[in-house]
Amino acid sequence: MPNLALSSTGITFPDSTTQTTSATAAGAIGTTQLAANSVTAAKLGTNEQKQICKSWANFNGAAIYSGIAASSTLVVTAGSNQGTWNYTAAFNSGQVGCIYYFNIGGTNATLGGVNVSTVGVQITSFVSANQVTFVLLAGNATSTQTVTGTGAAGGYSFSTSGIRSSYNVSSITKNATGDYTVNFTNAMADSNYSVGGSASSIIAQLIMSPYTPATMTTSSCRIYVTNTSVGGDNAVVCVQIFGN
Amino acid sequence: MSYITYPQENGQVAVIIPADPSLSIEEIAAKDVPAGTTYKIVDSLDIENDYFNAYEFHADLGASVNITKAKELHLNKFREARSPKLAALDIAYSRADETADTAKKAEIAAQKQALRDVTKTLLPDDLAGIKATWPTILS
Repeated sequence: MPNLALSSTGITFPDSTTQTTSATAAGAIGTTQLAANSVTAAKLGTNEQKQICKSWANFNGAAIYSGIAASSTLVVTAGSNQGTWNYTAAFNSGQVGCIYYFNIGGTNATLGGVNVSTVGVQITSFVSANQVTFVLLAGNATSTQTVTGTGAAGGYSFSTSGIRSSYNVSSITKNATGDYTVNFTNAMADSNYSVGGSASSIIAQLIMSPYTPATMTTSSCRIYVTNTSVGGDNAVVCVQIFGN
Repeated sequence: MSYITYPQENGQVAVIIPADPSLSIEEIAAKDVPAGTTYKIVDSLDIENDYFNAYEFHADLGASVNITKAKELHLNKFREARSPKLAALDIAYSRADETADTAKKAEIAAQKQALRDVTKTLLPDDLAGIKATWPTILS
């Protein structure tokens, strides 16, 4: 695979030849087909760049949680990336989509041969308060395994971020109930961006808004989810940032 | 996974939840903790989310509950639960007043006073005990 150097004017190949893009007007999408190398290059104009969501996140506002899973079981089957987690009266539907990390047996971080201590599993369905299903995030299990949690010594610990998916988000800070700061991996061009969002309706009359203009900075944006005057944690909080 | 905690000016703990796997927890701390603020990286965090606002920064554990604040939050749950009950009793009292039913009015007045007194309920000094305390009149 040759090394290609990208610049605002085109693509430079290892032999120092340059193929420029074919953008002909400000705001147009320039596309060049480089037949010999089977490369297609696209350059977005100023207007197109503004249409791209610069940062977004979907998270569970109530999910900061870690603990020891006692009297529970984790089950995976060799050749499958699916599994079940049985834990009496431990689950709710807000956990669907959330990523959990397990530390099994304190030192053995694998489940069916898959590292779930750093890679984790994502909850795929809520079956009941006693059971959820999940998918292993690092491929199929290589062996069938059932782990029974019986306490701190013989069980397993778990933790969750509550963040289902995100883009250009380094972290989310929970400041208080319903009060979060979305921290950007790459800074915004300026602080005059637009914040969109929604939150699930478990709490009535829900409003999600930027906290104050002063807390909209190029590096982070603080948001507040509230039912009238009291902050509320909701199972699904979604935030999108559009800007320059 | 790891979390980062730090104290806020109002005394509450803030918890940073990593989202970008390309960044180490140390890199996230350097970037997202307010400059000059003490912080703690922890592998687990024992926080009862319903009482999040009662937690404060703890240099070893990352966060620990302030029982006094937890009690006040729990009393707010009492107040929230009794509000519609008081409203319903207000209507019942008005109806009893219209029919000059003195005995009914006295009965309702006693119920309202009992609801007002729920915030005088003595709460235990541990979070599990606080959570388990719920006056039957609010059920």
